[in-house]
Amino acid sequence: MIGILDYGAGNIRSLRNALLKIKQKNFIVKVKKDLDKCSKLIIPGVGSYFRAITKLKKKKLIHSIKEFAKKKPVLGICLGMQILSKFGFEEKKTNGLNLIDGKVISLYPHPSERFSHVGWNEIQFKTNSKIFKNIKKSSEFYFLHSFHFVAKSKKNVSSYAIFKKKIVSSVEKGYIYGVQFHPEKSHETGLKLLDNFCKIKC
Amino acid sequence: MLKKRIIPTFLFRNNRLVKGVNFSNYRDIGEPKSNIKIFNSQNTDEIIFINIDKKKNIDSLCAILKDASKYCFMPLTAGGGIRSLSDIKRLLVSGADKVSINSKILEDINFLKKSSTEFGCQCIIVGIDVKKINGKYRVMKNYGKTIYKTSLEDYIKICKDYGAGEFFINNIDRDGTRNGYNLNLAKKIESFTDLPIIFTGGANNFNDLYQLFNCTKNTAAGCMSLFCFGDNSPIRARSYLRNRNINVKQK
Repeated sequence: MIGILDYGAGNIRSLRNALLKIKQKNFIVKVKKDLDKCSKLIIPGVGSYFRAITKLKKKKLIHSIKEFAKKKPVLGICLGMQILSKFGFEEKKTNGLNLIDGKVISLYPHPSERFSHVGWNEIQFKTNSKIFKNIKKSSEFYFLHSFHFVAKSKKNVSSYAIFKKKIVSSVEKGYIYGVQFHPEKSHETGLKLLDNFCKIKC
Repeated sequence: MLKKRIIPTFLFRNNRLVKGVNFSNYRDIGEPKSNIKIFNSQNTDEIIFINIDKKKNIDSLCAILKDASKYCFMPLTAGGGIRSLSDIKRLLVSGADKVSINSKILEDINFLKKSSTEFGCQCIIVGIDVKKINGKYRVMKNYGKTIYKTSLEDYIKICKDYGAGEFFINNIDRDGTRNGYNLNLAKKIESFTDLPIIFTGGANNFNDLYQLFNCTKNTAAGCMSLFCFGDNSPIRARSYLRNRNINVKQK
C-alpha cells in the first residue's frame, strides 16, 4: 500500500488520481501510526519550505518520516522533494528532514528579478535510477517552482534540467527519491515514473 | 530548455463550456469532462478553466474539477469568482494546480500578497483583461465594462511586487475574433515583466501561434476558438511549430 502524506500542503487529489490511473492502492497518511500501514511513502507539497516543515512539526511527523525512510522507499515531489534536504531558505532558514544533504535556495540571485521555472522541460539523467526505468532520455516533465535543490554531493543528483543554468531535477540516496517536477501532471511519462516507484522492491 | 506552452482556455457557464466574441455572444462548445479527456489524450501542455457564471459559484466549479481531474494528468488552472483564501484552498483541494484571480485583486491588492504567501507565488496567476481605449492599452474590470485607474504597466509591476506567479492576459479587442494575436501588445507586456505570461485573444490558426512565439520569450499561447471551431489539435499544432523550429513539447 502506497501512503500519500497529507500535511496540509499539497494537491493530494492529483496524486491520488494518478495512482488510481496506474492501479496502485493508496491511502492518505495523516498521523504517525498511519505510516505503519504503508510499504512506501509519497510526500507531495506546494507552498513554502518553512510552512511545510512547520506543519510537519505540528503533526509530530518529522521523526517518524525519518525512521520510515531508513527502512522503506520514499518519494518527495516538488516541495516534498525540497524538504528532504538539510535546510531551506524560503521565508527564513529552516531545518529540513535532512535525508539528502543539500540546501534549497531561490532560483534568482536578487529579489528584484523574481521568476519561476514554470512549464515543460526536458531532463538529462545522471544515473541509472530505478524511477527512470523505461523512460526515454530527454523526456519532458512539468515544473512549477521558484526555489531549487542544491545537493552537497553530485552522487545524489540523478537528473538535471536547464533553466537559465543547470538545476537539479531529481535526487536520490538509497531508497530515498525526490523529483522537482510533477510526475502526476506530466502525462504518460509522469505516470510511468510513479509506476516505477510503486514497483521498487527493497 | 523550457518549452513554449500552448494552453487551451475553457470558459465555464451553466455547467457547459462556452466561447464568446469580445466577451459576449457566448456559444456552447460542449461538456467539460469530455473536453478535458480529449485534451488530456492529446498531451496538452496545460489547461485553464474559468468560471464565467453570473452567480460565480465556486461550488459548481469545484464539483466539475473533482470529476474532471480524474482524467487530467496535465496542469490545470482554475479561476472565476475567487473571493477568499478559502475559495483558493477549495479549488486546489478539488484538483486545480494553480488559480487565476482577476477582480478580487483589482479591488484589494493585498489579497494577492496574502494568497501568494499562503499558497506560494507559483500557484497564483493574475488575470488581466486588456482593451485599447483612446489609443492606450488599459486594464479593464467588470467583464471589460469599466476602465481601471492604474495603467497597464504600473499594474503589472505592482502585481509582481505583491507576489504574482504568472500573468494571464486577455485581450478583449481580439477575444473570439480569430484575427490573430495582437503582437504589439504581447511584446509590450513582456517588456513590463520577466514573469511567465499567458497571452490570449485572437488565435485562429497555427501560424498565429508561430507569430506569437517568434516575437516573445516567456509568453505562452492561450487559445480556444482555434481548437473548438475546427479540426485542429494540440498535437498538430506542436508538429507545425516544431517544423518551424519553435521549441515545443516533443510528445
